[in-house]
Amino acid sequence: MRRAKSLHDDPALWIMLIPVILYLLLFRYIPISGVLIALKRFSPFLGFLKSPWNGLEYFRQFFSSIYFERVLRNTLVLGGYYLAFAFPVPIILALMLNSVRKPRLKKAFQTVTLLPHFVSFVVIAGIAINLLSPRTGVVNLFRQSIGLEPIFFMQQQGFFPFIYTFIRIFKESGYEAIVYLAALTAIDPTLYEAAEVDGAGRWRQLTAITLPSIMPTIVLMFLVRIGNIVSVSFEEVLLLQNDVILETSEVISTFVYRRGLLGADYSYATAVGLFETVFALILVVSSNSIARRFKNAASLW
Amino acid sequence: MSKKLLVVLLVALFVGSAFLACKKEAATPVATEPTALSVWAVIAAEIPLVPEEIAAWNVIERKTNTNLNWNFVSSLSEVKDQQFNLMVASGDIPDIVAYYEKSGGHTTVMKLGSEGAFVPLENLIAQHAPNLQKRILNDPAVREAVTAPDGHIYHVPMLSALSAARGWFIRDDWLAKVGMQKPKTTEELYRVLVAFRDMDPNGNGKKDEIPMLARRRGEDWAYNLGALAYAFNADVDFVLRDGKVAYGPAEPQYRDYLAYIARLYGEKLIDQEILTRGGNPRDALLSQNVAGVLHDWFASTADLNTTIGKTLPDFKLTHFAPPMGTVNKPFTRIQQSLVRADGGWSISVRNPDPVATIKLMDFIYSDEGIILTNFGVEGQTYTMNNGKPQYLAAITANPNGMGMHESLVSNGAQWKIGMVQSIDYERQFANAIATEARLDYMQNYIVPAFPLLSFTAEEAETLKDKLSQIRTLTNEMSARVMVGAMSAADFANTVSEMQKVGLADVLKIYQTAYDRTIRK
Amino acid sequence: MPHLFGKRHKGIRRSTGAVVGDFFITLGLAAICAIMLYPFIYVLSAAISSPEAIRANSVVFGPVKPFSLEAYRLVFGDSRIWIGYANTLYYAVFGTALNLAVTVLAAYPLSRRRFRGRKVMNLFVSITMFISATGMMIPLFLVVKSLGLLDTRASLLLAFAASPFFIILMRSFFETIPEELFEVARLDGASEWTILLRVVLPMSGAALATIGLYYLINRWNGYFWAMVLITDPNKHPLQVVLRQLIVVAQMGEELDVSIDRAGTTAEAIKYATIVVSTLPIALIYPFLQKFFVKGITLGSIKG
Repeated sequence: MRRAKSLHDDPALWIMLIPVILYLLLFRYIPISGVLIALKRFSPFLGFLKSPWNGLEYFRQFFSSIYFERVLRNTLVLGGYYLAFAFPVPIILALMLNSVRKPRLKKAFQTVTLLPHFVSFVVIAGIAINLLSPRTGVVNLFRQSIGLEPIFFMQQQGFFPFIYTFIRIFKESGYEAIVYLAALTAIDPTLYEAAEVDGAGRWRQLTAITLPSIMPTIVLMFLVRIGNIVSVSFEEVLLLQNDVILETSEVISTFVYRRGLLGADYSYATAVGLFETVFALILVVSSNSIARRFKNAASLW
Repeated sequence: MSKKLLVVLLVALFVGSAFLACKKEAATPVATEPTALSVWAVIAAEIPLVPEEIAAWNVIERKTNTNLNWNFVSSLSEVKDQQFNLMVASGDIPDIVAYYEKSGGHTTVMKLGSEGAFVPLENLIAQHAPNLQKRILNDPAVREAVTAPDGHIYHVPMLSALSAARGWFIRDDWLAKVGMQKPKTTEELYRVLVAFRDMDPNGNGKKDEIPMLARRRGEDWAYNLGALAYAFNADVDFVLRDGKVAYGPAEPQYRDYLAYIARLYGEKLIDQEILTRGGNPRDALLSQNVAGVLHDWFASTADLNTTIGKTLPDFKLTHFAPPMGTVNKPFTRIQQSLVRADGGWSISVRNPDPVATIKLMDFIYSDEGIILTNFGVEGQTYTMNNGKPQYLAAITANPNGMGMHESLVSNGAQWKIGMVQSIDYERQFANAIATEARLDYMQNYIVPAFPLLSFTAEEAETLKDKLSQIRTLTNEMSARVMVGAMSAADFANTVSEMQKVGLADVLKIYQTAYDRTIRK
Repeated sequence: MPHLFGKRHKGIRRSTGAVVGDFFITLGLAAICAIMLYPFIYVLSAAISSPEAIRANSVVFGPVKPFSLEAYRLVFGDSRIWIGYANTLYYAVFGTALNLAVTVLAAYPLSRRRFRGRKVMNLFVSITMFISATGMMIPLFLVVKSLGLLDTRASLLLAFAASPFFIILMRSFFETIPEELFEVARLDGASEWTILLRVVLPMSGAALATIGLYYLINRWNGYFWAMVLITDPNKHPLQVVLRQLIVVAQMGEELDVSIDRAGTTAEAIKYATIVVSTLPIALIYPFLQKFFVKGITLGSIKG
């Protein structure tokens, strides 16, 4: 058997890598270096080289503006709500699904809960806005039918985090439950048999066998989500917000979009985007190192 | 030797005269290919347009020897601004650009002009455009409004014929039903609104009336409602107090205005959905016969008398004077300057033939051009009656069911380009009620508005940072007071916040800019 | 199939507690599913109700008689919908094909243990995952602009040609292919290309299908960059058109505009468009589900 290690790699392998190298260079690495724009007063008409330098001015402007506290707070609030309310739902859903006996019923339930994940968010946001509309929305029609005043949900600052979180739960729980289902499937059934023989009831089985077995998965997913909370699903927030409730719905990413692309304030928005990247990076790296210390869980690598 | 010299002289003479002859020939205009120009323009009404089929524009092209290639953009501000920014960013700027900012104005055009995207027009106008010269260069008010901070002119504006723009309207038939008179003060207005709310003027047995509605414009919910500020000698934006620039919302009397609208909102006298209502709430609510009082554009609102009058025979909407609160004379600052903030066009640096273009723009300002861009083609869309152009049924009773504005636009008139609106258009566009309202306001209530200022690049940078925050605070906190989430008195805290953000710097910049204009 | 409460033994009676518990769980799931389905039922009902009924808020649980296909007629008569559909299909098909191609071509060398550039290239690919999408938003836009690709279909295809995450996923899958197969192929004198095409790909059906589906769904539902990079309405995918329909109904208006005639029909068009744009996904969904569940299981165990 030919075991001689070739001194040179088969050039074919490098050729195969050309598309991805070009792609990443052009559309990832060059933009990354483009964050230098944040240090200039960039005008697309003058171009990068002729635009005047501005140093850290835009960072200073952003940090000392009312926007900084606002978008940071909103981002963290939405992230926090997610971890508190949305995170447990897929777990519970998976536990419930797993205990259904008839396979066809189980499949049916899973099919339905998984469906919203595939529907585009444009559609989901559109439906949500419609259902919550004060005059024509079903929710308010119901409220009126039981004698309550209609509430203008999409107009109230305080409602947004709840609405957003609920919609996320609606859309993604079925999908996120799959990971937990997989973990549940991996539990050795003999453990349950032994428990039942020992006379352990369902609740006991749940707390003694099931939960500990999937705990590594839960912790891992939790840490992954923490790393992600800063980049709170941008498109979803964008599609749900309107200019009345910007105070609680403007997160860092939508702010970058609004100032940068809609307002053509390129340098300023790039500075804000850079801030978010660094912030997110810190979160990911720290949660990752915690994950690494967690014995049973595999790290992101 | 002398023979040679003679030959040379003769040849020179020949060549010289031939040369002169040729030059003369070139001086007389030779029929050449029409100049092809690409135009990027905001569409004046959301309807499909095919310029090649529009008679008026065919005439314009023929007379100016141009061939225009139009690219229209929706007038919805979100779309329009984004597409403009994309276009500029791509560097691929069409020959002619007709753009105005989100809520009106040409600061962006001026800024880009200074950076070299658009061609300065003063010299072109002076040399090739007599009509533009007359109306722009020789009219100090107009020239002032279109001159950029760097001293150049970068766009040919759209001029309006009337200055009265928006005002107060009330349902005459409802007033009759509740037995009250047109309100003169804010307290009287309050009582009328209460009557509208409780006495069921639309007679359907349900308490579904929305006494006052006020359309917003994009995120500016106070666009119309803010007119109530004048009743308290307040202002929702910048205002002049004895030559000194002040920011309305920072003044104490602004809180009186806030308290008033909070009271109205809290007692359900104002449309409860004013902040989020989409579509066209004015037309929708009025035609559903639930609204009684509003502040809006004269012409189109008065127009509703005809259209809604078809389904609601008693419907009668007439104007009334701005209500007085703490002031003792009714007034409003809302008006349109002759230079409209929502129209005009510029010559881009990529334009191959600025001379031909300025001549085209000049033609549109000429008497013939004014007719074409206001009325269309004689015989098709208008006819001359006693020397005055009068619209035909194609416009006034459009066979496709289009309103007057849309009919005009589809016939090539009233586009948001550099044109001059004719007073005869205004007279016919508005019905009698509107004209009466406009004249009343123009003669009795309109006072000077805050002047249009222009800023240097440095000033604009500071404003961009601080003023945007201040305006956000104003907008959001005022909304909070109105819906009752905050008391009017607590708005004073918002004012302190504005100070912290840098209101003083903003006022200083504005004062400097204003002083610049009076020095001229 | 193991489940929460222990395997069912034939003949052994289960405690009443267990049966009751089962009942409530099933009930709970049914309730959840009802809530999840309701919005879609609502949309479907509205789409076949008459526009007037929609306006009058009569549609709550089911369609209102008289049924009306008016909304669909309006939708299919609107060329924007057709154009949007064509564009979505274009981006979906060509986009996914490109994505898979680039992904596979990148994952294969990265999975070969003997490839000396492996460590470097792995780093090259995975570092890009650390930059958040927000930080890249403006610079990416400006790069596309400077390449002259603004307002071209190519921009959407090229600027998102592959996802580093899926490249790594594909790589993990390739790494599970037994080394012996490669040895045998190399002994036979096969080149890397041949190995990729004749050995690896045929074995990768599941991974290709799963990752391909992920890409496909993203392409089909993609909204943001399609909206930002493309201004020509003829190149907009369906989601952008749909959003405009929804937003225009919400936005305030400015200046003198004639009466809003289309208010009633606008609502109806909205619903019909939602149905029409989501229908393809709903149709292939049952087949999707199998692959997705498998795929995520695969991905999660690999970690």
